[in-house]
Amino acid sequence: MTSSARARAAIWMAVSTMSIACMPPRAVATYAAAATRVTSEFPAIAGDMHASCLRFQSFSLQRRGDGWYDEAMLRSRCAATDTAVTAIIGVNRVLAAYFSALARLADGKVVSTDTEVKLLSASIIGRTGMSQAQESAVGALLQYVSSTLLDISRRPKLAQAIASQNANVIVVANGLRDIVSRDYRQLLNNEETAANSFYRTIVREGRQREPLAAVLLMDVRDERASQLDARREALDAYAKALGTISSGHQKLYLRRNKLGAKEMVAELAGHAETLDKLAKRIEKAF
Amino acid sequence: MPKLKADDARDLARHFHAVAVAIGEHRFSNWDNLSRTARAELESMEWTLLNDSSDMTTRAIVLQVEDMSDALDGIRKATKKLSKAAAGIQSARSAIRIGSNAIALAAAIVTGNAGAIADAIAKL
Repeated sequence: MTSSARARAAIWMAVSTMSIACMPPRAVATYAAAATRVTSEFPAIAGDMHASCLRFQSFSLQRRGDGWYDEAMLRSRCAATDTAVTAIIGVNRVLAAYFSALARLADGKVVSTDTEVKLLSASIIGRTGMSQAQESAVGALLQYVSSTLLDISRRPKLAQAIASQNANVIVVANGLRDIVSRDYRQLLNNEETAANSFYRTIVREGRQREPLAAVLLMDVRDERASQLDARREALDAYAKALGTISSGHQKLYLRRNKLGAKEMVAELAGHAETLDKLAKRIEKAF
Repeated sequence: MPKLKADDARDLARHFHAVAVAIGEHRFSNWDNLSRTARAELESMEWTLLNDSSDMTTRAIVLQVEDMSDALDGIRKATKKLSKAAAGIQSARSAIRIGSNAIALAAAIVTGNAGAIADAIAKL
């Protein structure tokens, strides 16, 4: 092969490679960053599972024995819940760390902000004796080629992580969703039943003697009921977020070798938007 | 004896809760017909069942976390690899290598030197 034929073949190969990787996996970064943000809301939800146990026990202890309770008594009765909550916060942290690492690797900003590369390009271009037009053309090409090279090196790593962890991410996200949507809901249901039983019994026992106290108690009950509704809304939002995380990762898995495809970018952007909206809803509740 | 599963614990929690609610409804609906002692006894049963429901729910959480342990190990390992790869790309050494190769190729393309283009591509 002649030198110019070799060059033509090489250019063709380079251009083909670049066109395959021309779309940066930035959409993956956006989705993974949104997943990281929403999972960062979880400790507040998990913390309320323990708090719900404490509230429940305060009702229970007042209606049993001598009716007295203190913080130590509440904490000792909720020790198992506290341990379980610590464990699920740990589980959530693993999921959040995975998405954060995925976002960092997929993030297209890595090379464009790298001062070392900029300094190097300035010094090399300066030594070549190029015209100003050629220098600026080299600069533009440099930015494109550098990010493309980075994409070529990170795409297989992203695809490999997504492929190897898809089943695990779905197991963990669905497991956490079950804990939030079923177990946390059950704890709130128990708390609600406890509150209703507590207030209704006291009102029934004392309304005739102290009707005004009964009215005030009902106000307290109503306030607690509306707080429980807000918490249920937050748990619904988080369960939905975990479902979105799970289905988003499944889509990544199915299209892992075409991470830049246009429809994929649009779908992942949609997932990221949903996750950010849900994160705001959760933030409001706590 | 077969081990309790997370979903079994959840079913039991729901069941205990439902019975507690039913007893409570009975207690309030028949308040005036029940003796003070009978009411106290029913209420005590309610609290016991609600406590059992909460305990069973905590158990379900623990069992669910146990079920996830293998998946969690896998995710932890993958996270380490991803972080390492991201750190590698961000490190100056890697950036300089990528930057040098890219500059050589860009300069060769702009100057139109066929041999230099081929060499630069070969180094990528």
